[in-house]
Amino acid sequence: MTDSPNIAIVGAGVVGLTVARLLQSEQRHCNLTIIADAFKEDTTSAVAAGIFRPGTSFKGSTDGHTKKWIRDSWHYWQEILKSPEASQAGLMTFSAYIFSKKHYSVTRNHLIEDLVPIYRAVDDNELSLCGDGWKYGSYFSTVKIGCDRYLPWAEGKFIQDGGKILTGRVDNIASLRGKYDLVFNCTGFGAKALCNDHDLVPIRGQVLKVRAPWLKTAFYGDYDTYVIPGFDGVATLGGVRQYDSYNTDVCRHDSAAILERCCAMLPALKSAEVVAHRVGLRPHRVPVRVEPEVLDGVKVVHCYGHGGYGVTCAPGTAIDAVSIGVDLFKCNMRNKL
Amino acid sequence: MVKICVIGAGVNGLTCALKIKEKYKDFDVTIFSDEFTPNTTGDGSGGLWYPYLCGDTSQENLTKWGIETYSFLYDLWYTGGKHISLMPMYELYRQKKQLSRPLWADLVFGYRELDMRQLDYLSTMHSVEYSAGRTFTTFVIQAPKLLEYLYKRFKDANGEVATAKITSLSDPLLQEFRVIVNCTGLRARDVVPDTRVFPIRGQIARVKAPWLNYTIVDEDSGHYIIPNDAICVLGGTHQNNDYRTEIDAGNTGFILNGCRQMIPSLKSVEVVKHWVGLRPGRDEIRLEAEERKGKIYIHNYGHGGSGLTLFWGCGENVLQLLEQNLGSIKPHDAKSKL
Repeated sequence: MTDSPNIAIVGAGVVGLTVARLLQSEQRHCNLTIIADAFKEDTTSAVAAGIFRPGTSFKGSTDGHTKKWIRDSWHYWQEILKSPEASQAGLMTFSAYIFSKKHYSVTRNHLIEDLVPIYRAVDDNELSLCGDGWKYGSYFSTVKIGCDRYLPWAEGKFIQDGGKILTGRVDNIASLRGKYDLVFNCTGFGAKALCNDHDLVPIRGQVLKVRAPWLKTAFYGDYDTYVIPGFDGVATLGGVRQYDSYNTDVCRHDSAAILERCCAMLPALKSAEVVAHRVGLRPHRVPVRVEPEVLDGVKVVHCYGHGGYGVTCAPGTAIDAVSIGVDLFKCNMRNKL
Repeated sequence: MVKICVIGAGVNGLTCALKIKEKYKDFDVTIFSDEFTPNTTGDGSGGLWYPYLCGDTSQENLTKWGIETYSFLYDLWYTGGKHISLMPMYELYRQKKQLSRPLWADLVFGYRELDMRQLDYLSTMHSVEYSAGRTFTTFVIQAPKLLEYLYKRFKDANGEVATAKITSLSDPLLQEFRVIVNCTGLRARDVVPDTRVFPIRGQIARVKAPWLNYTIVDEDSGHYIIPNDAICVLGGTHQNNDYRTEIDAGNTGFILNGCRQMIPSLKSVEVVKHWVGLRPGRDEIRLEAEERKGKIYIHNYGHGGSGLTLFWGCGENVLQLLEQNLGSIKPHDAKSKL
């Protein structure tokens, strides 16, 4: 039995990298290896705007778990936000207005109302901020994690602190048997094939990235339409949520629709230069899978299925996963004695 | 032919000139100034909409002029292309303080006094113990872009611009004009002359921090952070009767250290420029018409730190004063003089 356990983290998106960094700070005696076939801008995480706002359908195995994940995630991001490295890590804070023409419930979010510093109903005059027809609205303050910065930043620190990276695709968990004492499965959409998990459903998303340095506040229109400020003045315009779609190509009709909806809310966007179109498959699962399993003789901790809330809740689930992994490992040692 | 001149091409001069020329296309409107954007006082400012440093100017006037300007900025923001940003502002106090509700509170978006939870959050984030504060959604202007827009609008309306330094209200250059709109800012002290006008020196640092999305003003320490779409302004100082336009190293240290302590991610940012502006202070804003030796002078100066907060409303007021006095101006005045 080796003194330095070998741990693999499969997946280098926001979940994988956050798990890896947590392991580095808490389990200094371990050899850590990230195995992934996609990094940084090629991950699903990088497509996301990264706003901290879990959907009300975000679910862990219990309500207690859900709330703890969100709370832990918030505090994790706040720590980085307060530090001198906030901008390198892709952290920024901003306020958001969310409006709805028909549904009051769309403007509420029981998961974060008690957590973020400000979450209130809008005043009547605020309803006319984005043109006519908005009937309900909320205003709240939150953070955003731009993975275009967070992933390279976290990866850099991971390597600096002795972590290893292997580029490659893990087709089955069995292939890792004997090489690693513990495996964290942070494969997101990849878990569908890797674990034959039929509960994991892709929800296709498409966004436009536009140059709008004047945009400092986010706006949501009835959930489907959102305009979110970004670093370096590049904002994210969205979006779509297409259930069970596997299409990773940019759809020009979706682009046109998104642009039209966003410009209807904020005509000022009409002259914004489009810098990119991106597509991502949100790895949606109810509940998000954070649990241990011995699979093909390999000790695995699953941490996938975050859907559209991976960037938001990666830290909370990662903290949980690492704790489960440590327990699993201790269990292993006890059995051997 | 009614000939009107405006002295001063800062934000107030440009606004008065364009409002008059757009409404009265047949009038001859000329701006006289020796400084134009981007070299006016307003050009260098942080660009925040917030009524302050206006001495005893009445709440009613601040509200009237300020809200008209706020609405104007909203339109510019909504339609786009004018480099206006919409964001929350946090005005914070370290000492416990009973905050009075300004008259304009209900007329802006989302005015609230901060509660304990919000203050605790801001205190933790900025490593300072804040005991009181308020917030509302406001606008931040990129001043040179706004002035450029106002200038262009005036020229498009066929306004005339002449480079000249006017040293007094009876300057020979003003001879042919029947109405003189005086937007001389700090120079009013010598030009009018008006000894109630005094400089309020303000030093700032411009840094590259495009990820900052809110304005924060620490009233007790004197630090403030105002991000616009191009640059972030860190401040500041309020030095009465200080005419120095050179950068003061002590002020620089104060500004950078204090702001970096509040927002640690500012520690590694590039400082683009240090700048000093002399705010045109006065015990109250002077906005009134005066008849002197057959000429009508409409004074619009002494806006202190609120030039960019009040310009559109003050300009409208100037227009109203002009209209009130138009009765005494006959269109063929020049001819009758012959």
